[in-house]
This record gives sequence, structure tokens and C-alpha cells, in this order.
Amino acid sequence: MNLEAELTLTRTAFTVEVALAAAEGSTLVLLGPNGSGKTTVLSCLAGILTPERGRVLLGGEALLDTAVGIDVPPQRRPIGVLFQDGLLFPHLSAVENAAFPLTARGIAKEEARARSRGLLERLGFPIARSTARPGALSGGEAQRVALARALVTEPQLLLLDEPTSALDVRSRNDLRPVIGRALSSFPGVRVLITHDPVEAMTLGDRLVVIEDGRISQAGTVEELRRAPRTSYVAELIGVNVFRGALVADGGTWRIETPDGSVFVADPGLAAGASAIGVLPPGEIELHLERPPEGSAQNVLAGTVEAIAIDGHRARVRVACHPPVVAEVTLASAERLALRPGDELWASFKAVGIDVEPA
Amino acid sequence: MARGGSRRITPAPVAVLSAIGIAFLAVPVLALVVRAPWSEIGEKLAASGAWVAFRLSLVVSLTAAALSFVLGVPIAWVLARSSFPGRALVRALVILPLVLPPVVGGVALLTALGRSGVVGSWLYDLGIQLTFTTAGAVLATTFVSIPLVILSAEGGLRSLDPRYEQAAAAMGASRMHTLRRVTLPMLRPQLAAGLVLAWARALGEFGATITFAGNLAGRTQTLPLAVYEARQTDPGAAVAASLLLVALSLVVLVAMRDRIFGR
Repeated sequence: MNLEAELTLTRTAFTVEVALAAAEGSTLVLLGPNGSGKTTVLSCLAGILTPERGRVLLGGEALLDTAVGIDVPPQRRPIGVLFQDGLLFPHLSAVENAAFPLTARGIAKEEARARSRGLLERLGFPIARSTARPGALSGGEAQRVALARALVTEPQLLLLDEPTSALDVRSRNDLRPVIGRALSSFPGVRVLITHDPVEAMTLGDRLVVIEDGRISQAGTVEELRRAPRTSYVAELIGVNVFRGALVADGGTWRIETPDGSVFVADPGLAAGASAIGVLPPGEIELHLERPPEGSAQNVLAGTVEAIAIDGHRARVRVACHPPVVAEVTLASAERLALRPGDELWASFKAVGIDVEPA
Repeated sequence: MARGGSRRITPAPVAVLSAIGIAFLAVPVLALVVRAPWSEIGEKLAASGAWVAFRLSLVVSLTAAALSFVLGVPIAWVLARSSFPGRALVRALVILPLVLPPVVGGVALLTALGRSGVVGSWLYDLGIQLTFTTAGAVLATTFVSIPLVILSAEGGLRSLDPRYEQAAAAMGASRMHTLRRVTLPMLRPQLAAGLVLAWARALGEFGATITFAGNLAGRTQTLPLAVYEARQTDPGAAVAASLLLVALSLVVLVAMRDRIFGR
């Protein structure tokens, strides 16, 4: 049940022209700045928008093929959609919202409610709140209802449009693992829109970056991180990722990667759990000599591997254990007179690393 | 400063003008209460046929409101959701009864549906006569009430975020299911307001009804027509019948105030 899509359509500001492919059981992440065309692509997959030219194949079957005039209307596509802002129906209760796709397909109210209630419960929705209207729900509760509504028909293609962007940091962190579990237990193809790099990296198998309606880069997290092709990708994905087991050691925590370890702040996870630490490159300081003892717990010795100039910034790849990418101003890079092969130290604070369960 | 919270000060000119305005609106109603023939109000109402007219008014105004709703909402839908040549003209045409003097509406209806009217002569040949019948009173009343449903429903449809209906479609809902379970429920406040306003307009209808349907007690003489007739013979009875209308209107306005005006 693979997904293949090629879409061309003109928007007022630009033309959207993309080709996507995703394998069954995988999550494709669409990343990009606001207004770059991500939601347009998703709307075409859902059938809400019809492109001028295009093809959408799901498991070899055409949902859309403008060449031969096939355009299956949204209500007959085997899809589940979580819309941006949730878009829960304000006049229906939480459970009625979650049951809507079932009742729309003619399933009896009682059965539809029972099924969606069970699903809501599995997604951590407080079941006592199931008769509340969306206006009375918290952001996290509302998004659980929206997620249930997308999953309840057991569709073949799941489309999620920024499921956490409307939430505050705390509810976002609560919801992310819920979405992660829902995605990994979902058997079909998953397409997720986000502009949150942590979400993209923790939830995505393959990333597609869309800028101004076109794909500027596509690949795995590692591929994008190693060689970002645009400054947007560099800024967003060009972060340092430390993947490994969490180790607790006398009040300090580390992530043990296959190539060295880094100190992190107490992540609120069990020791031994596998985790992903994300560190923006701007958090790293570079020193020509070993820095004096300071607040930064992580001080790594290494050599400059490569320097890439991007406007007034320089991205410095440092070969240390684990390897990191630092971003400094061009002025700093020139002041330090950095050249590939130079020895130097990289330091960064444990709290600068955002730790998520892997 | 009755309730706690932010201090609100009403500027003096606003206070003075609003007091004058309220008095202007309230004094006539209070005058009705003061001058009503309270000691013999029962007999007056019975003698002037006000009770019969009251019942007829209820039947005519409620039927007209329902008819306005059933026809007005689809018109609003077409005006809000589709585009066709001459749409602006059609909108002007269907809103016209709101600004037209009702008596002109009555004359227009008579010209169209009267016994020798453009359409009415055909109907008459088929054995259908609308003038001087309760059905005619309902038609005349509906004619002037529909624009209120259209205006309210069209405004609601235009302000409804189209993404809700798209979402419903993407969740497998047919157009009909979306209409019944999403669009109409989400428009409930506007639809309720349109319905109540149309009913209120229908209850007060006078000119179109008397012109098109005539003033036949028990068939087309609604309460406003009864008040008008009583005024020429027995002013006390007219006041009593007027009070009946005031009471009915006030009861409905108070009961529906949240729906029409919001909280």
C-alpha cells in the first residue's frame, strides 16, 4: 500500500510542484516555512483541492489522475485527516467529533460512539470529558480528539497537518509521544506536516522539505543533517542529534551514542531508555584552547573538519566524539582564523539539549 | 458600577439622548397600558373579534415564518455559495420586499396572483383562488418576511469557515450529511435569528395582507387588521387588542433575546 504522488497546481503566490513517495508503514514528513505549500499538498492528497495536473496512487490504485480524469472525491478516499488547528466541530461533543467519520459512513450512533470512546481512551483522553464541547477542552485534549477522529475509520492513508503547533510547550511534549505511538501502530502510510524539527526527527522516516512550492531537499534525517542544501534546511535540520541509551550516573545524565557521550539535563525518562538529544548548532561555543572550568558540562576536543559560509554565519563541522556542527558568526570564525584540520574545543551546556524518547 | 470589574463611564450626551430615545419608545406602550379599558377588557376583546383575529394571527404568522424559512434558506445558500450572471440583481430582487411599502407588495401580489392577475387567472381556471383566503394572507405575509431569513442566513453562510465543510467531506460525509450535521447546526444562531425576525415581521404585517387578502373576519383579518377596524368604531377595543399584540411580542422577544442578540 505505497503512496505515490505528483502534483502541479498554481496558487496566487507561486506554483506548487512536488513528487512524493512513501512506503507502507512509514512516515513521510513534509517540512517547510509557513506558506510554502505544505497544506496545499496535503489538501490535494485528501481530495479537497484538485491540482491542474497530477496523480495520486495509493497501493497502485489511482485516487487522482488528471490525465485520465480520475478524481475520487474526499468522502470516498480511504484517508484519515488531522487538520491544522484541529478543526473540531464546535457544536458536537468530544466523542461525537471522534465518531463523526463513522456516523458519516452510516454506522449506528451507539456503535460509532463506543468505538471512538475506546480509541479516545487509548490516546489518553480523559473519558469523563467525552461529553464536553471542543470549546471547553484544553489544547491537548482537543488534539487527542482530532487524532482519534483521523484514526477511527482505520484508513489506509493518515494525513496530519501540524498536530502540535497550536499547543504550548508542555502539552506539546505530552502529545508528541501519543502521536508517536499512534503513528508507529498505524499500518498504512503516514504523512505528517510540521515545522518543528524535533517532531520531524523523532516521528519521520523520510523528510521532504518544501520551499516556495518546490521540494528543496528530501532524504533521511541523517542525510539532511549532513548536507543541508538550503539555509532553511541548515537552520531547521542542521541541528546536532545524539541518539543512544540514557545513562544515569550519580545525579548526572548522559546519552551514550556509539561514538562518545554527551551530558544532558534530567530528561524525566527511565535510565536505559533510548533517547534522542537535539542541540541547535548556535548553542555550541568554539575555543582554540581548552576553556576554563565553567557551567558547560560538555567540553569536547576535536579538529575542524569543514567550514561552510552562509551569509554572515559560518557552520563549522568539528570531528570530535560525538561529532558536532557549530554555528558561529562569520566574524568569529575569521577572528579565530579557523581552517580545516585546526585543533579546537567545542563546549555546550547540558540544558541546551532537548531530549525526547526515541 | 453595579458589577465589579472595569469602570465604565457613559458620556453625558449619550446618557441624555438615550434617555430621550427610550422615553419616546416606551411612552406609547405605557399609554396603552394606562388607557386600556381594564374593567371591561374581556367584553371588549370578545366584541371586537380580537380573539378570533389573535388565533388567526398566530396561524398566519407561524405558517409564514416557516414558509419564509423553507424558501429563504435555500435562496441564501444560492446567493452565498454559487455564482451566476445576474446574481446581484437576484439579491436585490429578493431583498426588495424589505424596503418596499407593504401596500405596494400587496398590489404587486394582486397583479400577479389576483383573480385576473398574470398568474392568478390561470390558477383561477384551475379552481385555485388566493385572494380573500387565509392562504392568501399567508402568502402576503411570507412575501414581506422572507428577506429577513435570507439576510440572516446568507450572512451566516458567508462567515462560516469553509474548512469545516471540507473537513466533513474528508471524513467521509456526503454533501447531504455535511449539510444536515455540520453546516446547518453551525448556522443555528443565524437561522434562529432569521426565523424569529421573520415571525415578528409576519405578526405585524398589515399593508400587504389587507391589500391582497382583504379584511374578512375569521379568514384574513389578522390582529393588526382587527385593531385597525376596531379603531374606527370602538377606540377602547382597539387599545385592548393592541395590548394583546404588545404582550405576545414582548413574551417572544424576552424568551428569544439570547438567540437574537447574543449574550
